[in-house]
Amino acid sequence: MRVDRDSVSLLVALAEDFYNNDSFIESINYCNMILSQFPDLKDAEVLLLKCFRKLNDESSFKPLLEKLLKAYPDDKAVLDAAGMLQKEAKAAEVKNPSPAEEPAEQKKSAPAAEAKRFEEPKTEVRQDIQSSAVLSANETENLLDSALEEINRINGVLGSIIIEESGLIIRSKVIENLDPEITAALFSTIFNVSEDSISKVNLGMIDRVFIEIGKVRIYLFKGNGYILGIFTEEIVKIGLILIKAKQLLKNIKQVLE
Amino acid sequence: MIKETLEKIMEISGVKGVEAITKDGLVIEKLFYESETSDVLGAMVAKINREMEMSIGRSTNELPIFSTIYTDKHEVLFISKEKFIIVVLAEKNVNIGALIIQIKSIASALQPHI
Repeated sequence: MRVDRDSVSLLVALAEDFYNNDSFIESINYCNMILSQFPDLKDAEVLLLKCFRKLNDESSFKPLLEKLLKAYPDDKAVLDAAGMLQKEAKAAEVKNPSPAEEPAEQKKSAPAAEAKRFEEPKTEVRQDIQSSAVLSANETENLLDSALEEINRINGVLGSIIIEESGLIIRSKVIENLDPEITAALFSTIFNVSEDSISKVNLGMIDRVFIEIGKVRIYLFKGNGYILGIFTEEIVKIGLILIKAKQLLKNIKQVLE
Repeated sequence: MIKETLEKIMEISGVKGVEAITKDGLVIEKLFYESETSDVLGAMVAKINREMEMSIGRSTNELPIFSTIYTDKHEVLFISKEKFIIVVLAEKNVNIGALIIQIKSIASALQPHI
């Protein structure tokens, strides 16, 4: 597959999605495809490094880490990946003191202190969700807000909202002149009527509904008992919305279910 | 005339049927491989469209409402103009981009005849 400059960031985003969803092999494939045409693309290399680390593939990890540390000695992303490895290595050493001193020595020589600095504050949303069985109301709000903000950052997106199937708002981030209550009621009505009608014709279960009117687009995605609605302008790239919405639905599922 | 125009949509691979209906759900013209689905589908789409118009505003020839409903088995696409609706039932593997372009163009072509 030919990768051009415009699509490379989308491919990196895709690879990141795979990584975030624990599909490391897929992510590696995408990274390799990108790197075959843009050999020094840092984002792809760092992602590849993370994948190798997750897969415990030391033979691939070490040379890449050395290359990256040489090229970007003070880079946060690289140090982050390296630091995490050191943490794991240290934990492994404590559990199981290794007879081979040479690799440990090498690891110690890397900037461990700096790496540690980047480990702590960046607690990932996914890890938070998994680690705590029950989230507090504030935590849930924050997680949902950050998920909606992420989708709103896409060029052309006017707002997004998560509603319960009956029309009650769970969380919303819409532009000022849109009333979230009315929006929620509208989305819920459209979705319920569509679902009811489609089931009567035996055409299966509704997955999503897209509506175009003038220069506005409405995308409704069905979750388990909730609906994710996204308002966009005409210019928005629908493929990107789809990818992000799927990712967002997974995150919401982790928070709400 | 209407039938010939609708046939252009049927030429797209994966399309199972197409019909032009009034806003009340009455069939103007239809081309369906499985005819029993078409009447109910038309009525249901008219109902969905009525709800949409009540929520987001009435569709006009200049400002039509185009909707796509994705289910786990099929895709239902419809465009609502001022006096009629074109409904298309397609399989999941249809080229949705090409189909959307064709539906929009057919709807504009049919506008003066309905």
